Amino acid sequence: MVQIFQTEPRQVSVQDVREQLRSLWMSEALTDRAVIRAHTHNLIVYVPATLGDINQAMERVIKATLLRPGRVILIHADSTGVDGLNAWVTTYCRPVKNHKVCGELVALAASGHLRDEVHSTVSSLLLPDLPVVLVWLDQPSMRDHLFLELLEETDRVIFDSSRSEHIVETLRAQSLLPARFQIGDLTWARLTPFRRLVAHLVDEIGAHTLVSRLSSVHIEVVSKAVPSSAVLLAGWLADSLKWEFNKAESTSSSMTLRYSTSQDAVSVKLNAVESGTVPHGTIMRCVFQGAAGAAFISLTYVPERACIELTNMLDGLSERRHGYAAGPVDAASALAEELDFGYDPVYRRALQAAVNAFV
Amino acid sequence: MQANPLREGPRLGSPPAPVSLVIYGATGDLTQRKLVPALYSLAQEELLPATINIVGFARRPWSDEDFRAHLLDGVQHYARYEVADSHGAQWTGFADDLYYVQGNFDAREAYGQLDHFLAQKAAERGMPDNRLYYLATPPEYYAEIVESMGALDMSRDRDSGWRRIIIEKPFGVDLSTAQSLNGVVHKVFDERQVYRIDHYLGKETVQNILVLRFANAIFEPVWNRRYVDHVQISVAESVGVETRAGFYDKAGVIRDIFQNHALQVLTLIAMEPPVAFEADAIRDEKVKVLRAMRVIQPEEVPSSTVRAQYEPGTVDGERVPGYCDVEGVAPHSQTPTYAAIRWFIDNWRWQGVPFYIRSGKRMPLRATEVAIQFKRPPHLLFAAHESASDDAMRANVLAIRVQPDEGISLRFEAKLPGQGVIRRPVTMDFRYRTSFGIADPPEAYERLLLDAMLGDATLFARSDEIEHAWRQVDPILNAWQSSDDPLLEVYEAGTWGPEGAEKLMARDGRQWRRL
Repeated sequence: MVQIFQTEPRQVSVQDVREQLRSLWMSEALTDRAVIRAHTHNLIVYVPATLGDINQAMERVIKATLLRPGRVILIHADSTGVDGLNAWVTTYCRPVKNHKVCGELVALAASGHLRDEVHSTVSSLLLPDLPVVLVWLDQPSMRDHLFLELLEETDRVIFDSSRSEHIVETLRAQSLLPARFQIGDLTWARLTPFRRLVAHLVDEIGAHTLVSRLSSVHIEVVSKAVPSSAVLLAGWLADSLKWEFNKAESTSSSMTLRYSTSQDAVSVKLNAVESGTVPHGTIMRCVFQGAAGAAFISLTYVPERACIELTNMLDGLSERRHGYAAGPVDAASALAEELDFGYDPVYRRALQAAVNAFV
Repeated sequence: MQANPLREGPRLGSPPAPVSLVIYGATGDLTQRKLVPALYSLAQEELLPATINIVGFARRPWSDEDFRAHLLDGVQHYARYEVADSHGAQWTGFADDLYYVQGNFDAREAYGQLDHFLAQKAAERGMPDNRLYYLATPPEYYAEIVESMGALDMSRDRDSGWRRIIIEKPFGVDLSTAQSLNGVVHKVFDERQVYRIDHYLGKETVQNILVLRFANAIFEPVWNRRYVDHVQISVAESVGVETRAGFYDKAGVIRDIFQNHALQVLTLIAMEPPVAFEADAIRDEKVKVLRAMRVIQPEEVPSSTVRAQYEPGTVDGERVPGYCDVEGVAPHSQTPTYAAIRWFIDNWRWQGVPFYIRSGKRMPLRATEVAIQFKRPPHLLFAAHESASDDAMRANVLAIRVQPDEGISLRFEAKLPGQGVIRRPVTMDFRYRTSFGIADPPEAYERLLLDAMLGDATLFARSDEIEHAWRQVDPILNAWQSSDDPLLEVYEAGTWGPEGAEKLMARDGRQWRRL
């Protein structure tokens, strides 16, 4: 658990935000550790009130931005309430050796009609010359005035499709955003450890060998219904290995996607499984099966050992098991990855391949 | 082999091919404090190859388990990532790939055993027999080890895998020994297989010199004799010679710092834009700088160089002994622990611009900095400062701080708020830590080991680079050895060096920057 040093959020008038931040930094500079005030980006985080109150939103945003602090502007929006706009400021830090690496949070609680107008306040708070990244934790809609206004201010927009209960609509809405908007998804970042290990395997055996032996892929994910992580993983495999989508069949907790490949055909079965302790959306298992249904490669997440165990049972090699330290990627690490790497065209293609399966 | 389509995109990158990394001298400090902690950090970031064998080779009669326990201690102390649990998946997953082969460097049969072990391990793990040899031994063993590998045909690339070798500095003690070592190495390895390491080049800020110069349009137009008055490169160390006394007393500051780190930095500052960001394109330009540097003639040594040795003093509030009182140093040693040198580069860009380099041990603080001092405006509209030296102090300076507190600052004049026109120097600062919120950047060895595995030699020195660098420092070393001019001065530990260094600058109407 990372230790967080945080100043008590101060409620301030919107006009006083900058002045209050200055005074917070002055007091931060007087603490015992050297303070590193990160100036990397402007991060606008939109959180609908349905996800919790302003204090919960601030706590979540601070945790999620701890690894890549900067100027964070949280919009806590409640369009159903009475008109109002309130602001809080706080600074927060994590210890790194003898230093504290710190960021600043401006929280804006906008309700009623002012929710749609809060973008002008956000604009006034952006630091010049730094990239602006919007994290939109809600269903994107091209009819939402605030969403459109914020999009125009930003260099990138990041969603979190794992939260959606309607993944088809969510992913489709994301994919329909014009190409000039650089989109990302925290769910995609959460898939990286698994994707890296699959790529790792293909480094060893070659893509041709994999495809020529493959008849089905079985993916198990922690969820009640098939979540976006599983669909994106399938989309990535299909796009990277040039599979043509044929048809999809689904039940409440599973989905089977059928593709034709350069060799033959392959089916990808996505199954939602229950787990008491493992976070929602975590890929538990990914098994590559041959023609007779025999598994020849499997990747299994082992929560007790916090690792992904990879088993390779290809002909000519004895069965080999290897554990790679990897677990569910938390929000902070996922956001850090999205911010570090920026736009990923592979994600956009995987998203398109995933969405194609629903059309 | 076809490219892996699942590696496309910016995130998964292409890791190095499976490799056996063989460390000669694996029981030494370098392995425990730098190499293996760097490998562990790379493993934590999943940047190591899918399959890797890290094989230590040394004289001590250790088992794999002894070797692993020894390295665990190093990783716990020096790696960027903590080992929370020595029985946990993170450490055991890494430690499983560590092996130890015992052997004397002068025993050919030991190399045979090592060769056999590597081939067998590669076959067992179904990996190509790629090998990266790392010479982490004292330099006197380099030739012996390389020749032994040559005798057993361990150096030749083959279908089953490539072979590369990393050689630690010092690469020779003068031009002749460097040429001789290059000769030995080239009998066994092709130059393209050789990676001569200078860990300074793995530092983020040193690499950033190239980005600063060639990814921005505003610096290059003023990066020449028309606008630059002079360049200062300072490598100050607060530490003494400590455990390296035996080596240092033979080497001295020129071999320890100037021939490698300082000249490497100088070449990056002075080079022309390379035609591509590729190893040989960059190294070609660096070599051109070394070739264009004016060799200091024996008669110029007294006026262009200063040498000194530290006496007892106080550093960081602690009383420290003088150099000659350190255990392992000869009682009346004449080895300089400080030097300051003025060089010129005879080419169109830098003609007439002096490059001053200074480096010393037991200075008040540890700091490495490159300062580009610009010329003053041709005509000053405002009242002059109190003195000429004050004016010089206030010229524009672009300072590149290599360590610590890595960053870049630009000093310029600004008007003091209020009545009248009173000028004050101010700085625009870029600091890695604040700009990127990073307090713990990767260690230089992480980058360099990874590059060597990937076959990228950009940050490694080529044989001609090494030899040209020796051509620059050899005349100085020879002159110092054969003459008392300049005298070996002394300076108190915890100060910025001898008076002679100030005079060297003062003669040119300049002064050293305060670090």
